[in-house]
Amino acid sequence: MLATFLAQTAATTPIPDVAWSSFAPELPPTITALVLLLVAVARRRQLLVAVPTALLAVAAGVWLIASGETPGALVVPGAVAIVLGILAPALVVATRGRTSLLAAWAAAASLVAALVLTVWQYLTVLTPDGPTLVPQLAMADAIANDGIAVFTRLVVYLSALLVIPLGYGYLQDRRINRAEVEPLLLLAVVGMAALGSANDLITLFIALELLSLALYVLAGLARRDRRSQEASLKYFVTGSVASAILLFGMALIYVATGTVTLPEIGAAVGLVTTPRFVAAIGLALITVGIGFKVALAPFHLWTPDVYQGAPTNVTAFMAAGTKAAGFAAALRLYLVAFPDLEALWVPVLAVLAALTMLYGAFLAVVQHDVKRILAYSAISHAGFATIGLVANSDAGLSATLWYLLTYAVSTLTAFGCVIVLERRRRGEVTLADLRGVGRSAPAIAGILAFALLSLAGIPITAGYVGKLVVFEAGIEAGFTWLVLVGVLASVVAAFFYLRIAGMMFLEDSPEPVEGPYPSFGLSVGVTVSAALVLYLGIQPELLLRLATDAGVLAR
Amino acid sequence: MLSEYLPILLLFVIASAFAVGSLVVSSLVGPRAPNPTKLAAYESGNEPLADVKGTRFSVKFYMVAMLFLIFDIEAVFLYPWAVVLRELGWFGLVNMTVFVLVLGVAFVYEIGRGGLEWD
Amino acid sequence: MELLAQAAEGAGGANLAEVVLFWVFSVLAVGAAIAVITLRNIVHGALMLVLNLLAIAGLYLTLESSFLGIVQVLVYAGAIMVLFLFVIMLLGVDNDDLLKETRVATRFAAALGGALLVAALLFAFVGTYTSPSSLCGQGTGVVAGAGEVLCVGLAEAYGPDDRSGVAFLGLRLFTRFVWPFQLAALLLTVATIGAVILARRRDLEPEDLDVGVADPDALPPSDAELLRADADAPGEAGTDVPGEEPARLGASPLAGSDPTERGERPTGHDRPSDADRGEG
Repeated sequence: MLATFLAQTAATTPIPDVAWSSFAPELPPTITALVLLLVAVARRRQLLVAVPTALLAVAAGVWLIASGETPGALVVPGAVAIVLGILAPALVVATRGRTSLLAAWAAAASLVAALVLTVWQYLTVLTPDGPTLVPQLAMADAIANDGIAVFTRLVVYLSALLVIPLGYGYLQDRRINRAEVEPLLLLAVVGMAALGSANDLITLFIALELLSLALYVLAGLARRDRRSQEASLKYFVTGSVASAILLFGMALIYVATGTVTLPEIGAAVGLVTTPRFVAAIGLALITVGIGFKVALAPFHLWTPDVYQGAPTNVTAFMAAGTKAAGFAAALRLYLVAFPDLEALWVPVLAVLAALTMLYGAFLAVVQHDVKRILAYSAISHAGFATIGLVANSDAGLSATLWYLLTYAVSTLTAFGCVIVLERRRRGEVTLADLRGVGRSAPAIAGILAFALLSLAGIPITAGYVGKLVVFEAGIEAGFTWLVLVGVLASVVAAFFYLRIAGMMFLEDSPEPVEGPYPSFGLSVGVTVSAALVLYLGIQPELLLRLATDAGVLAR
Repeated sequence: MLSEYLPILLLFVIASAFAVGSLVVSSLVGPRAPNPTKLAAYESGNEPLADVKGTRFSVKFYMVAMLFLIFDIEAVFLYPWAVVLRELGWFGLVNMTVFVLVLGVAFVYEIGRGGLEWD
Repeated sequence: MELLAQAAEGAGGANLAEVVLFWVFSVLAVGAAIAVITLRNIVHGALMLVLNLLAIAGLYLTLESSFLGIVQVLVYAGAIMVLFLFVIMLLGVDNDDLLKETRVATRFAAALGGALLVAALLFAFVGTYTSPSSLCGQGTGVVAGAGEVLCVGLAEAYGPDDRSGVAFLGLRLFTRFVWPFQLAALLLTVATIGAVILARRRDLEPEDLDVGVADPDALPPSDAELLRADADAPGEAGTDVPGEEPARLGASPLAGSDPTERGERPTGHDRPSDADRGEG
């Protein structure tokens, strides 16, 4: 039967061109996630999974290197495949059956590979001649590889890479270091990357669901911890409602325009034949759905409980990665599909941004749990990132992308410090628990203070540059009032960030403080992310230029 | 177009009529002499152990239903694929293979984790 | 509904049978939907939902989308409704707490929101697609961005050889939407993992967890361990009573907790779970 089929393999319908390079960065995390799932159930026979994987990967790598049109064109992806392939059995042997350690290393390796391939893709495929980025559509227009896509990939893969060492020791302490954590994390990050490059409503929705579903499960990882279960359930219910609203909005957009491809929607919305009222309702519903996902006030109500209840490393990933991916989708939706409706969404989003910044900042002041404070800070930062979107310009686009990167590294550093402080402690870290930490553990207190200064937007930190470019874009676009609101929110926010720092350094603990116990992974994760905060704060030129270049849309 | 469904509609009507008719006729012509034993829930002739109301299902049922749903959706994707496979040629075959392989990994994982064991 | 009926009429030259069936299924769907939210017995409500889903499948059939109709029956009326009923049975049928609406304001707000949405949709669709002077009324159809034509009816979109829409769907799925199709495989994989992790009764076996610390006993008991000790204390965790599930739904800390209230309370103790963490 197969023989008959093979005899007639000529397709009679136009087949889309599968450009591997267009989704090459997503391949290593996806394949690693699937292999890790198999490893998780292989028990003592892990090599049985690892060796065939290695053979296939090495063969694929050799084939890639040999098949390049010009010699050497595909050396990088080929080498990546070979290295990952060799790593698979090597890691199995080196970790001697400790599945979660193996999973952590393998996931980290695949994320490094994803970052390498992202850079390779940017340098060779997307900038074929000279430094200007040439946006490319691939996979029958389902993928748009433009600035947003590249930058989102960088941010989400970097965040996931940093979260793995941060989470390893934490999960172990809580006895929730299940072998499924890394596969879920990897699939979530693939969803985020796909969301950043989604060029039609269907891809956008499925990618969003992919990352959401993985995060619902990750939030409820601690099965015996009711707060974790509550977080998972709350996140799931509110997230599903948001998805349903978003989907309804997408359906209405399809009704109004007859297409799901974003650039085509953008072209159709402007036509006189398009029923604008239907499109407007669709846009409103989409705004509500996206607002839920990136936690814009007044759709943020789930955020504090979920961020507080979820395992801290998952919270860190949610804050850094989901925000970046969600805003990437929002940027592409509003700037590519709805430029003709800007009279509708720009004022609405401006008001939402102002509300979000103020709400997050003011409510953070009255919180006592450090994770909860950081959750309200995440809400507030979503408002700041929206300023760039509201600016509705290339500068605003770059500003938002850049802001998301700075926020990601800052919040990862802060949550990493919280993880260090949470070790050996039952339950969460409250403000009172921070007293005296500055004396008992000056290094970690210093890094936390530095991360908080970055979140507050104090000079020489990444956060300062982030706020600067966003405010600049806002003022250029004529939203001076919004920027003033942002400055006010920053001042309020600085108060509670500095209060945490003050607690650590100026107050003494009534009882002797048990020192925090950073593990190797935690030390590496926190140090690297703190170094990134500093680097982006004092040497922002390279990545800022990338963000500026990234203001090129596949329209 | 729609007339293709006429046989199904007829079947539906006849089946409903038969069901409703049987109930109506038996309630009209049958004798009625209830006693407590006759009114008890039918448990194959045994005494009912507990009141049915208030019984709660185990969460295991839910998981089986959820896994069924997941693979049901996979099966739904197979129908349109099978219809157009000849037109798609290699491309369709490779794509569906990848799709099924990915779900195959999920399936192996599920079995390995004991997802289908009833404890 | 009349609007939709007219739309269908304008679309494909509807005959009388189609119009009659449309009305039958529409009345069934709307009536069953109303019954779902008004019936006191939650199982009856679920059965009404089955009726509603079946009626919608019937509507799909009258709209020449038979594949979608069959999928609707298979997936929604079949699998998803089984899931619904299991959840209802999991929570207990006569658990009256689940049916009580504690706050009238919520109900009012929900009704208002729903009414607003319906009004907006009606307002958007009336005239746009139904009046004789509308785009579809002129019989020409709308040429949208993709060059696709609305208002022609699905039969024309499918092409002459394809009467059910399956081939049309298959071709679109495997050419234009092949990337989201592959992402959907990952989505289903994640769903499988979630089902296994979250809904599995028996907890982890020891070999699933590898404690990589050299001397795990040197660490003080973790949160999870302490909570496990708490959970184990009243009854054995291994028994098959759903009520003993550690994260049981009935006794969720969600009950009676309001995110806004909690978030805005200035004093400490803004954690929901302090009360039922059972530290004692």
